[in-house]
Amino acid sequence: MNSTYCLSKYITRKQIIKVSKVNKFLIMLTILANSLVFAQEPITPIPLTIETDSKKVTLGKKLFFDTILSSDNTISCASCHDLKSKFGTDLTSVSTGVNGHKGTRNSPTIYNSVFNFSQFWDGRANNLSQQALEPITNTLEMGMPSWQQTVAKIKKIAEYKELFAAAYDGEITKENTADAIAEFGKTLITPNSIFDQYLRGNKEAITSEQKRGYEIFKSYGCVACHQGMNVGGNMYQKFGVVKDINLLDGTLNNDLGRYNITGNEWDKRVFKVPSLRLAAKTPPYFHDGSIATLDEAVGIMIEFQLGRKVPKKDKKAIIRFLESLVGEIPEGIR
Amino acid sequence: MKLIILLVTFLLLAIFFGFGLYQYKNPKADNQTTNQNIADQLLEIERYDSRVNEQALRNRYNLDNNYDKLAQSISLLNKSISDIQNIYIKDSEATDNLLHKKFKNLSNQLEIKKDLIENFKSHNSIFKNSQLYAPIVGKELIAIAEQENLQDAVKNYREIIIELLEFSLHGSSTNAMKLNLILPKLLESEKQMPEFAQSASIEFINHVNTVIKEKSETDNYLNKALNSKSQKQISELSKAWKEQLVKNINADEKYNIYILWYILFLLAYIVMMTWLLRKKYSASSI
Repeated sequence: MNSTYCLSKYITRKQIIKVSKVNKFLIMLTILANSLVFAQEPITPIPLTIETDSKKVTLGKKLFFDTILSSDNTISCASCHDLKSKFGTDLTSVSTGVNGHKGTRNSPTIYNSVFNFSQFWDGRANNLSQQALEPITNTLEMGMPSWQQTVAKIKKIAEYKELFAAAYDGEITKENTADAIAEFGKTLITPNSIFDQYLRGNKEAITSEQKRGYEIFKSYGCVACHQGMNVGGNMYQKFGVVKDINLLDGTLNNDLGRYNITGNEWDKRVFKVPSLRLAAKTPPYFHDGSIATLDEAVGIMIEFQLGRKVPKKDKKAIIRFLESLVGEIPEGIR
Repeated sequence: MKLIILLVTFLLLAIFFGFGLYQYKNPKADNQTTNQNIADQLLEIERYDSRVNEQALRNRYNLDNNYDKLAQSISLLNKSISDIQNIYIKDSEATDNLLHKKFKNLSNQLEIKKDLIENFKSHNSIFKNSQLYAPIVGKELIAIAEQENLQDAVKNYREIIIELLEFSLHGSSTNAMKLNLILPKLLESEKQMPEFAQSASIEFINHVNTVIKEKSETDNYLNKALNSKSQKQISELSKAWKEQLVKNINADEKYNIYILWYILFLLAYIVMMTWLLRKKYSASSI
């Protein structure tokens, strides 16, 4: 009896140990899953309005559309950032500046750029004002020889004297010009997308496929980088995180990104993570605009950044989700 | 007559001299508003710096799952430093060379910290992604191995996933060591896995390796950022700034006393001159 008792006790203990190992594994998976389920959403809605100075905005808007800011009076900010029909870009791989010069990188959308933590693909400008300074004297873009000459051109126009008087006590300077353009840039937001409506509580705002797309977007890990209010735009990341981008045919590996600014080895092929708010409307994709379709772009991202394969139906659902991020163009622009 | 002219000339010169002295008085303590603003801004910098630390930790431990607040805090920190340097320190006469140097050091230190935080964000995202995905694909591989009756593979996959999850949570070198011991065994048992599972196997190994690598990178950047000298430098700067203010105020008070004595001297001179002139005119009228 004693031996039977000891044996049954031994068996019971062994079973307990065996069950414990499996349970430990399941418990750990559950903890991990629950931490994701009950965490707050990683994407938040764009605010419906932003506070701006109306006088500066009026001036900035006029400057934005004015070709006098270019050396041959043919190119304005709106040339590469078409606000009406092209969702703040020009829908080309790279933009064309004065004298037919081609740029080196894809023009990102100007919409919602106010929510980016830095500007340009390599983040070299801290804010919209700093960003506005560069294209005007860039020989590949607006080609003005200097800001001095730019300001001199602006000063010759009576209407600008009045607008600067109202907005900046009459001081027509490089800093005030950039500031006005930036202030106008702040108004260029696309709030109230159906996905934002969903986030605000309207559960019927998006389709079931779009909801599925969002869940896949989270579970695949896209949201590790494309998160926040702008679904991106708040961090830098290397292109080719899991899989080396050199393995991809094409030109994506040519540009060394932030390395060109910092000179740090670890910044090679590091770029600002772009916002996906208008991705569904602004092909072509990536820093050199070499990828024509969203389908291909999503595939490359999942393969090279997330290190996994994606079935067609999952990719399709992600694209449906991205389409739900497109918000309303501002009233004065429509 | 000559005496009168001499006295009046001397008086006028004295007044002009006094006026000139007043204009060239110590300007350093002049603008109390600027001085107070700088002191307030230093407090703001300290607050934003702490906020950056707090939010980086929140992101690391999944209390916040987007980087908006962290990015915003860094942006505010940058702006505060930039405001102080450009508006107050460059233009203000209220500081001396030593303070300029301290501000420059702080600004450099915060630039370094900003880079560390940006690197932390990048690596943290990669780490979280692999931390999430490795167990998912591992579970699929366990199911396939069970179907194929590959018990060794099942055991190895399970062990790896548990060690990986524990390593992700605790980061102990024991877990890392165990993982490094199990991985070669896993590579062996993977050869037995069916063809259609090979790409999933490769994905699993890649992500496990990524977790091991990226956890240490992430924590390394975070620790460097949290232990940066910025807080100490902000405190030193605040202290140095307050000492400078007190010095300026004391110098100003001393100067004011000198001006006061000079005015009293002038008044005494005027009284004496009046008395002398009255005496002279009284004598001449007699």
